[in-house]
Amino acid sequence: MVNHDKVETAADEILMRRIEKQDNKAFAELYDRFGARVYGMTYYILQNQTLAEEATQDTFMKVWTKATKWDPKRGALITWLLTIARYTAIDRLRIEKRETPNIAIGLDEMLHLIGQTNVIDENIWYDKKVVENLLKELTPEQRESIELAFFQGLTHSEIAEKLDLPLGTVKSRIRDGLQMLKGLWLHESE
Amino acid sequence: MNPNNIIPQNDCDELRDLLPSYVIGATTGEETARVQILLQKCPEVAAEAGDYAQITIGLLETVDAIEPPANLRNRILEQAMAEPPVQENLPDADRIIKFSPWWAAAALFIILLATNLYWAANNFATQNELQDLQTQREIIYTLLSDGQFQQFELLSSDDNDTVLARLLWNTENNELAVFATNLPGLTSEQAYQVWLLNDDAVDSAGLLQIDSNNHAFLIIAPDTDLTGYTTVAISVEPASGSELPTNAPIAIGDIGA
Repeated sequence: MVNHDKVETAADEILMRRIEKQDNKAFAELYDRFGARVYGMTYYILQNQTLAEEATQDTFMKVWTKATKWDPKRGALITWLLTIARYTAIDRLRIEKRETPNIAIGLDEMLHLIGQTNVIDENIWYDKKVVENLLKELTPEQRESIELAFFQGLTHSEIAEKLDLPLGTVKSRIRDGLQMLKGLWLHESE
Repeated sequence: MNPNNIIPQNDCDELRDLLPSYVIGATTGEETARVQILLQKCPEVAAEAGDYAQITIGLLETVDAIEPPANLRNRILEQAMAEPPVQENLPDADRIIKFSPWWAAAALFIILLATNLYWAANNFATQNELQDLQTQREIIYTLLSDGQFQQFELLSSDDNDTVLARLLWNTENNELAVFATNLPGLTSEQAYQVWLLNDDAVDSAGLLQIDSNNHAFLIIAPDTDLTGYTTVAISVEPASGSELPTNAPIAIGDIGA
């Protein structure tokens, strides 16, 4: 049986090698394949069409100028694109709110970490239905805090202020929620 | 001396608590700096960071695709045609500089060395901040007391007396951190480039990155063994860098025994 994931990764590699060589058609293909995913991400974070368009454009330009940075051994092309889109959109969001950029984990470090795991079955995270089922195991409060951090770029303190909660409550919601997801993932992978 | 033997286990518990938040970006600046130091001290806990990063893939997957406005495609393609990728004549920094969790500790090291505690005592708002600074210093010095770290200085070529940059060499990881806080200003068309030298070669190690506090730093982690080099130098080069030095070094120093 042909391994679909491997075939897809190989196709992505060929596409990105063409983009490295400034192949405009390859870049157009990349946009046609992933433009809606990237725009969906930037719109989800920014909730504004104009800002989402600008963040999408910035994301694709980063890919165009830094195509060599994608390492297929460290994760799927779509993960790389969406991670860049998320960081770009959150940066834009904080600028719009006149907030200083959060100096939490940087994009390059994040991309590196994504490629590091000891658990065999990482493909589980690419299955939206499985992910949604896992997320249902979280309490609504845990999920809310995790989403505010991950998609709005808010720190513990900012979330506590926004939700009018004690700081310790926010910290434990995020920690417990992610530890639970990790545990469920390890269980699914067995 | 193995630093793991002297760092209390509750530091690793602290890392275990902060790590999930760190990976999704919820830690504050102070917490982030603390995590990056603890990642060095607690490798077993640090190994879990990749697992949490995998979870972020799942979070990304929960966001639905939305068809973008039709004209966005043309705008992006037109901009791409107008701005071809920069053909760097240097090795891509991300390729020669591997990720290294100790870089944050190393960066903090030079900042802390440059920070006078007396000054800090008069300028930091709270005793807690001062205490944090002192704690961070102690951790850094603990790191440095381990045999795998060596320190060197790059002296000014002009007077051979002024220290212009400091080096922290992690011999175990084959990584060299370069820091400078006293370099003269540059025009926008110039950059500081670091060179590794031996009797046979002058190899570029990349451009010094300058942060908002005017601290310049670079982490060098080449595929080749750093012990093959005898000297490190810094010169002023074009902003995009140069394959070989085009100016005399402003700072130079030997590394190794």
